Amino acid sequence: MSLDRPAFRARHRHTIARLYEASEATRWRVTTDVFEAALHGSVAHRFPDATSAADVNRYLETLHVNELALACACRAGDEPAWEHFIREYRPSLYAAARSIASDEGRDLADGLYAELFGLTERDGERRSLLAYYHGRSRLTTWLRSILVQRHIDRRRSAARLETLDEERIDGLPGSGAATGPDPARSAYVSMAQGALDEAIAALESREKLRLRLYYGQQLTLAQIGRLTGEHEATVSRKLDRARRDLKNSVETLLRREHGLSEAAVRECLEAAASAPELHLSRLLAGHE
Amino acid sequence: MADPFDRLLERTMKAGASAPEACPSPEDLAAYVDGALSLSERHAIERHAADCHTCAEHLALLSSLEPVSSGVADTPKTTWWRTWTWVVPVAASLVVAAVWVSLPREAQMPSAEVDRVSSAAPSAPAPQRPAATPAAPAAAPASAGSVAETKAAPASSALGGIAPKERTPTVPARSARVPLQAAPEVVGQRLDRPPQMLAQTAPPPPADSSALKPQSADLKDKADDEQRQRAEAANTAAREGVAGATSAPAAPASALPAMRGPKTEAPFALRKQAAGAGVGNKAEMWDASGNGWRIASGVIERTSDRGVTWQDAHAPALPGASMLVQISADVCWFGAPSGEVLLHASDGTWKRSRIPATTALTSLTATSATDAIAATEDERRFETKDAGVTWVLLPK
Repeated sequence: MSLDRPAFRARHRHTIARLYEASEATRWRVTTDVFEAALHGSVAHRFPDATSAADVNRYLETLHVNELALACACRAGDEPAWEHFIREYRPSLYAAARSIASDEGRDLADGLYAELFGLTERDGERRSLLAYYHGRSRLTTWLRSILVQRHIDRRRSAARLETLDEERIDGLPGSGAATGPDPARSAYVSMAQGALDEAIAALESREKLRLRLYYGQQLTLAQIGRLTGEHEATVSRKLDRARRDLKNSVETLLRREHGLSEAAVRECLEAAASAPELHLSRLLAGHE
Repeated sequence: MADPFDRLLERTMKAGASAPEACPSPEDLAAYVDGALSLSERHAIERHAADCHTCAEHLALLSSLEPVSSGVADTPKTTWWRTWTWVVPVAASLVVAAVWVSLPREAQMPSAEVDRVSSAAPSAPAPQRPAATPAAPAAAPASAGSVAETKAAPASSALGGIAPKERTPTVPARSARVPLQAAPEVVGQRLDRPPQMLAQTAPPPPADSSALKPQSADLKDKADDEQRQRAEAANTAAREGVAGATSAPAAPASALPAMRGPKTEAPFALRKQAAGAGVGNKAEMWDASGNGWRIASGVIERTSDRGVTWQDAHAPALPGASMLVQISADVCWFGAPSGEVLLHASDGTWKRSRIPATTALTSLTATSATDAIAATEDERRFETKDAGVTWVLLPK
């Protein structure tokens, strides 16, 4: 069980005092008690189970205490704090919302802003979303992350109501398409996808993530590198290697396990790449 | 993306997937993006996101936003898992550089390398050898970290996409040692701020570069990454989404053999061909969409199909044009030793400018549609931040 508040205060008194001073919490009239509670909440979130004092101290040193203090003040409704927030964070929040959700960005940002301000009430008490900010990341990044989460949730809710695009169901039985599925082609599709799934499963997580970000999310090398902490050249090289290894694995599996010739392997991959039935099943999985 | 395997891979990766464990919180994902997690936490997020479409999308959207520059005075944070990991590779590189500098030039590299470096320097033409290796990137020693590394990562990565890459090894490119007392333009290209994706000046050397000492790719990657992270942390402007590139002037066509390697089917190439290499004094680049530029026998041309076909870009005359830096499909800088610079802007217009120097322009580095740095053979550097309207001499 995580450290309780009195024990936390006793063990980390000096660190708490030093961080309180560094956070300029007095600028926003945040008391030591409130600030300490915020620190304790952050530690409890990070270490739900007991951990060493050294780990806790190390963790506390990494927190964005200025922004944590600001969040505390905003939650308490401190006006200067809110003015500061509006001036420093609101513009980038709305800009990020526009970038993420274009026309719907304004609506998205307005909704989030209201939650931050604490316009929602629970049990008669004003609740601010800022209560969930623990100072681990920068406040701006945290705000963006919440925005992204809201955006993805909205989009998925809307997608469940969409009807299937007619193009997606071409080629399926009963869809009214000109021809029914070709058994040989379906076998090729199944072989290729199975081989690829097996090859992907054998990759290291980071390799898989790079591939997913590049192919699945269409990120650039620079964007992927920013996420993974690598240089573009490194990302490029590793993606190239992973792709090459995957292709070799898939072709080897198709030749060895299914006895396909070189020409048949090429035909198999071509069939799988353009198979509509595969596309639909994978898309459905994406809507779950 | 013509290769059916690539299409299949793209569809597979775009399709939904879910990891068995619960998704991390938005704050954890934010902390990941900010580099605030421990190594084990980062690995856990990556393991999850590798299999979770939702979290991969979350990270992708966060990454696509412009980097944060917080207006709030913040207590400096220590990402403790990074605190000391940079020390050893930086110290090792400094030792190597110190030893390198102290050695006579000929002792630092075999003659083939000397010729290669010399031939990359327009102001110091080297005797040509029929079997000469291509001009090495006019790069600073690897201790500069990003210069040598990014020489292997050409400018088209600045385009926000991928261009076909020659299937050539990158380790030899990084390992190509250039002594500090190399041609002036080499020194001139060592920018004060960490260079962005530098344009290749030449394809990496062929396999007979046995004199070069290959290094473990992974260890070198790690060391280079860490050096670069520190350099980037010192310059947030260099971490904006726009990457830049540097071109080197083309060597005379007769000086170098055509080193265009076989076209690779891999989609991750960052440069197709280095400036100066190949027949006809060509330099060409294109981005992931296949849109690109080249200078062929002094004529500026464009492609929209990854160099399969080229059309005259109807550019204003730029005699001696030999440098190009592509920023995006439509934005491209061109330079000539005369000091004249042409910029094709995103609105389709051409902007001509001239650096205020009488000495030859030897390299052009651009980081955006407005920002560029031009270096001259007497080691002066001029910067523009308004697409060439004004060029300001930078302090040495």
